[in-house]
Amino acid sequence: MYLGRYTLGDWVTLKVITRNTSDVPTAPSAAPTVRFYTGSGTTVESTSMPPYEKNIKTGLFILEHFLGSAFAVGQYVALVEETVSSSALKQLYFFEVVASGNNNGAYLNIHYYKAPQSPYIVGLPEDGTLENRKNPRA
Amino acid sequence: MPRLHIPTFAEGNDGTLYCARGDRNIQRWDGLAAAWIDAGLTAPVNAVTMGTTSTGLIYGNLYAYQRYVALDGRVSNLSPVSTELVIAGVTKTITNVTNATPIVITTSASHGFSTNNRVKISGVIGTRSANGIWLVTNITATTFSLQNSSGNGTYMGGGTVRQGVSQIDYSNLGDASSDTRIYKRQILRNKDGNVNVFYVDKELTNLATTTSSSTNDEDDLGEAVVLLGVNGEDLNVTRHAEPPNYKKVIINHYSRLFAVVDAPYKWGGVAVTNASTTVTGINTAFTSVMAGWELFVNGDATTSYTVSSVNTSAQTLTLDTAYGGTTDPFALYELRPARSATGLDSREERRTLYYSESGLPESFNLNKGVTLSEDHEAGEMTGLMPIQTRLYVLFENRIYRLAYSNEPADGDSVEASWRGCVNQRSWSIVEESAYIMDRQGIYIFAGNYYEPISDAIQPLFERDTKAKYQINWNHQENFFSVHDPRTETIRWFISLGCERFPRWALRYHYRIKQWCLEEYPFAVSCGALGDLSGVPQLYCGATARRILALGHGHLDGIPNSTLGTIRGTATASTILSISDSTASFASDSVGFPVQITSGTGAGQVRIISSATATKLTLVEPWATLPDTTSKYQVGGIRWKYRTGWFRFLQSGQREVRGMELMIRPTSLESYMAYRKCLDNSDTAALEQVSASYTKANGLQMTSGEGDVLIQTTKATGLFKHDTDAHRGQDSDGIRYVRYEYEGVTNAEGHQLRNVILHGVLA
Repeated sequence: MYLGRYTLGDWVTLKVITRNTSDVPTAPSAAPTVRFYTGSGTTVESTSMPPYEKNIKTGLFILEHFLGSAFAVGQYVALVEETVSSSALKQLYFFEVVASGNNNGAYLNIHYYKAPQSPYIVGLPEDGTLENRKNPRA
Repeated sequence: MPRLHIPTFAEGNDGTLYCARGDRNIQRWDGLAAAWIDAGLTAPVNAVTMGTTSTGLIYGNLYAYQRYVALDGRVSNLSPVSTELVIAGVTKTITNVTNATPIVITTSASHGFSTNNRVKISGVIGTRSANGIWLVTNITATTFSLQNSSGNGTYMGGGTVRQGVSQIDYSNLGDASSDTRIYKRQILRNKDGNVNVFYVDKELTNLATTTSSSTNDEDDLGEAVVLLGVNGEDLNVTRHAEPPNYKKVIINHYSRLFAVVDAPYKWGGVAVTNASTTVTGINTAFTSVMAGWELFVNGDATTSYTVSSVNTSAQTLTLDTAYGGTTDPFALYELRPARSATGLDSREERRTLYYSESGLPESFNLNKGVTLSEDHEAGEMTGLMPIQTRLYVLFENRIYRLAYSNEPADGDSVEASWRGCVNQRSWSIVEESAYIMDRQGIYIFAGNYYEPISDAIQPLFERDTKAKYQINWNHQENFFSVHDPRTETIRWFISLGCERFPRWALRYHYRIKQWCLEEYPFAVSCGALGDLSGVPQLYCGATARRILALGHGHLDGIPNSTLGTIRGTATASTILSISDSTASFASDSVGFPVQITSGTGAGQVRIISSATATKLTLVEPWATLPDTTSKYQVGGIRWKYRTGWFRFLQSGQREVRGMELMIRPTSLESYMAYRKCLDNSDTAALEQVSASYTKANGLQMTSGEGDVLIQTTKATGLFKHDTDAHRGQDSDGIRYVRYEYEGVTNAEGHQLRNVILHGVLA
């Protein structure tokens, strides 16, 4: 499945409904795993998919994955693997990362900090790294 | 990587900046250090082990603590106390003192001293020069001489001689070298007979060393450290704990730092196994601060498990008791902060606020939190709001005032309003009044009353599925407000669509009490008021790690020095690009918005993902493919102004109907247009012209279209368009008119100076 175009710092969303061989939504034996590959086949990141509204939707798993420092502009493949009723199943998702974003993501909050020697704009972007930035005109 | 909580920043009275995030330690930065570090100091965990060496003047029933000290003098709590060290020593009664050189002392019983032992003599009357600390020599069983002594009077009686140990050996200090916050370690010990006042016996800057020794006797000990005050108040034992690391809101109020609002964690899922104490995270980012929190599984709010430890690399939790539920390889869960040490469960903890010691923003006595009474109507606590000397605790549906004089824990909380606040960032203080957003709307709060002010935009707040715009409360954590004193406006950034971060702002002019709705080309996730060249300036954080100076310049994101072509007419396009064969686009246009201002596909805005000299490639595809009629603008800011509905004059006389517009002329071409709507219709009325033409005054009409283009470069800046239609008093014709003006800025701003409507009732 083609997921679309993203920019660095976006969140790519994978949705999986695990099904048995009769195509009936069925809970897997463990949470599906996801591995992200570059277009050339290099593994970028891997994780597991958490359940979503499991009391209402059988077999629904949704992963929101941050396109952080491990990603760059290019084509990517997400391989989802799950085991349902002892059958190992795989699904592929494709997406593209295009320029205009940033690995750090969006700022969650900023603060104008007038330190004694110089004013700064400090902020916390989505990658969790506190930053102290300085505008020479500020 | 999971999503993070929205952090808060607060500055201490000394200018140190703090950041609270709710799932890790509060951090500090002083503007000078290379990096942020954890605030506060962790108390040493090891109790000091004490031993003795040789004979000397140290004696008594002794105890020791250790504590850490930062470079700026901040101290940690004390370590656990050592076990008691009893140094009985030797005490003998003096029966004679010679008035000679050297002085010879006689004791009532055998003293057991050896040459060069140090002894302390006190209480001698007459030969007073014998009192003091001496090395002894010329030993017999009951006499000894004081080296280098000389009598100064005849002995008249009294006196004791005492000997203890010469050195105390300290061990089990623990290696503290890995904690960069610590500058030195202090070892404190008491004097015989007093267990409330301890003294600095040793200071060690080598934090790796785990042993030390001291030959200080009571007279040599350093600074006194009092444990409890005269009224039993804790002065140094638990007073200097680190700020609570599970609160995500901090504010500075009257030299204290306050910390509130728990940050429950439920990102991802967990695998739980019946009868096992191990819980494995699924796409989680558990942090070490979650030890001690309560774990709830699959929505069962009645059964919780305390997390005894967290393995952050393996993303596993260890519970203090085995999981009693059904094994579930992918369970939903929630971790809630709790503090078993003070007996507060997670329900009480989330109603509790903590505060630092006055003037010590990194010293929190966590035994002195203020737990507000449970109010089922209040909803969750969302923040703290100081207005002058008053401090208000914000909930989703209520505001409480925390009234105290010296110690917040001794104060009272009083309900102040039946309105609440969405989150800590959704209020702004202007002239001692707070402008606050809650789920019902926006209101002014002045401490003893509140006044709704959002009637004009109330449909946004109501659950009306037919409304064109509605606030998406699912993302209310990301909403925020910013006050712009320059324009005397407050903006509340909100989500109207499915986007997680706000892309819209409700802008309120608090002088003229007017609202407008702003839309941004990309998400704006946070804001702060600062200054730029000495003038107040709003800064906004956005996606792609951008920080924007709001209202500064007239193009989104484009500095004037790197313009290139930013306006023109398309010569070709594809689903993901637009080309202009005559253009010279700047290569660093990436990330900027380009919009179609007129012609086919007008109104579409897209973000540029790459640029060549003549072609812009886009992140998202066009909905309507631009063609050679399409004019584009890079970085332009689209604005729209709409009048209210006006009723035409129905006098029966011939009336002039129309409008007169005055703008500030621009030197660069840019898009500006107006349209009129009639009789409550949102659709523009078509201009009744047989052919497209441009009026001499710069208005451009197109046959079959409702939009009239305005030539902004017209030197007069005056545009007039009148018709002379009229209706009699009783005829059933057009009754109402409304004008809409819109534009897209080029590198100059647009300014509407005057709009006059003719032929309408004022």
